[in-house]
Amino acid sequence: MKAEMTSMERTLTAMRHQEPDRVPLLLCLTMHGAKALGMSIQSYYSKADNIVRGQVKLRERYGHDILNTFTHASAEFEAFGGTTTYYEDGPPNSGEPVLRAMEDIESLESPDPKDNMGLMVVVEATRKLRERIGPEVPIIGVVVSPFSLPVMQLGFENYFDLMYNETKAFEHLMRINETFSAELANLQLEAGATAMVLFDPVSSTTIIPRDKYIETGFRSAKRTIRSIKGPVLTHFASGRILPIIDKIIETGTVGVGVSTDEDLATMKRACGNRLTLVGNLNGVQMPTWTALDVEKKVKEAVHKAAPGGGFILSDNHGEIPFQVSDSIIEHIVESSRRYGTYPIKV
Amino acid sequence: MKIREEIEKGLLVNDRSCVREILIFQFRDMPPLDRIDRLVAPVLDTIGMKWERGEVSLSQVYLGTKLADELVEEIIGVSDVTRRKEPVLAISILEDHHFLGLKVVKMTMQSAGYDVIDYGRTTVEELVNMVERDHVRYLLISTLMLRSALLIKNVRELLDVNGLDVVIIAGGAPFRFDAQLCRKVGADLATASPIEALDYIRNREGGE
Repeated sequence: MKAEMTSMERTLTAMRHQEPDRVPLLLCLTMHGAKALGMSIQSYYSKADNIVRGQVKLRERYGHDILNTFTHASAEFEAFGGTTTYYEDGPPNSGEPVLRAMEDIESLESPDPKDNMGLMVVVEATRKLRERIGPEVPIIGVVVSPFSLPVMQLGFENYFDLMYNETKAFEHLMRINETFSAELANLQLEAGATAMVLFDPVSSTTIIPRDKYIETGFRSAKRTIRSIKGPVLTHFASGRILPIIDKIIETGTVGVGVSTDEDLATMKRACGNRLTLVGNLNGVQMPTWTALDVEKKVKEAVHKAAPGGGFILSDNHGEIPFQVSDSIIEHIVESSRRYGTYPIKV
Repeated sequence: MKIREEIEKGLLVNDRSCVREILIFQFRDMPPLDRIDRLVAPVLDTIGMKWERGEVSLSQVYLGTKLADELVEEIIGVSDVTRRKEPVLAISILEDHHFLGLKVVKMTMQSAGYDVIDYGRTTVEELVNMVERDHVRYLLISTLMLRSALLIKNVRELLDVNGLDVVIIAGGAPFRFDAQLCRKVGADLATASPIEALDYIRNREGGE
């Protein structure tokens, strides 16, 4: 058995495609911080101190390796004039699209993330969390990709119409969003985030075909990743990516979130040592899992993807649903330690 | 049938002139409802199956269904055919602001010759009130977020309290990732495929 590593050593070793002491565990716990502090999700997300207290409390409880300061995707939408609806038991939702006509896109300018209170809560939380936990725990920041942001800005169907029929306006919107996303990512990195997650579901082949990705999302991701001053992992929020994995590697990303729809072993073969795989426990099913289900799913994921390193155990969507109980999360932690200790016994 | 493959290809690459040429001109002597039943519906069925298997993308499904819907509208528009008004079908979303799923399902039903009442985005209470007012038999609910999917349970409970016998067909991402969710929320069917929903309705109505 290898000597116990710190969370940072464990994660970086895995990302170098070497075997650490055990598989790093990324629990994408966001709303659970509010639950742990006994406050509403809206109140929790309104202050950086809440997020820091919540993340620290969750880590004390579960001992997971990677923390995050993500609140909700709609915070970025707010910077473009959008609104957010909060719920007691689920993620905040973005309101009505703000770009309703072609002129709205043509006259759009990139907002400064520093002018948005919700985004600065995230940046501030990252800074304070880093001060609080020290250098030995990775913190990941999150930005919605410039290519996926328009789903909130325009609505899905209008965005498809733009993407397929209005090349000039589409390209203009990408440049605006890319400036914004890179700036927001860099603020989080400067504040102490170890790496950024580019949240890019629209690029998955669940949403657009490979040829469209190559002429749109791929180019945008490549430009964006080049502008971000730190390592970037790309998450596709349960979308399929195997048919575009070769192009994803070309974007410069260092890792990918893997969907439950795709087989980890197949993904591992396709990526080799070029990408770290993050995933792929089914978050939607999680609320009704038994301890035995957890054990089986964790074991399966670890056996398929952990040998040789290059694997971080996590959920498949990038956020564990509010409905997932503390005991299920505890079972995930226990199983990840039981079955994820190297050398992996397959 | 080669012609269906051509229509499918045209719909998937959003080639309006190709699909229009076939449906409006090449088969102009075929009765309108036959064109819909024999050419449009089977192709949408194939596209739906390919979507479920991950072989086509959401953008292709959306743009292809939208094109099919427009052409069916054109076919019906120049004929004396009207869409079926019975059984009463209605569609809605709960809380989400994403209308894509709703539009795809609605257009698929319309392309198959059914009228669909579109309630848009509603609350549980508003939805049940409208369902009662309009004597809806089949209620199609499109969801994106898990929370919205779980709200269907509240719809079912309120329908039961009001003594309304309504078939709920649920769709959307949460149901794709959890096969048990349909039963948990009290839906009669959960499907990622609008065509499966259509077949389900047809079968329940006696295989029309």
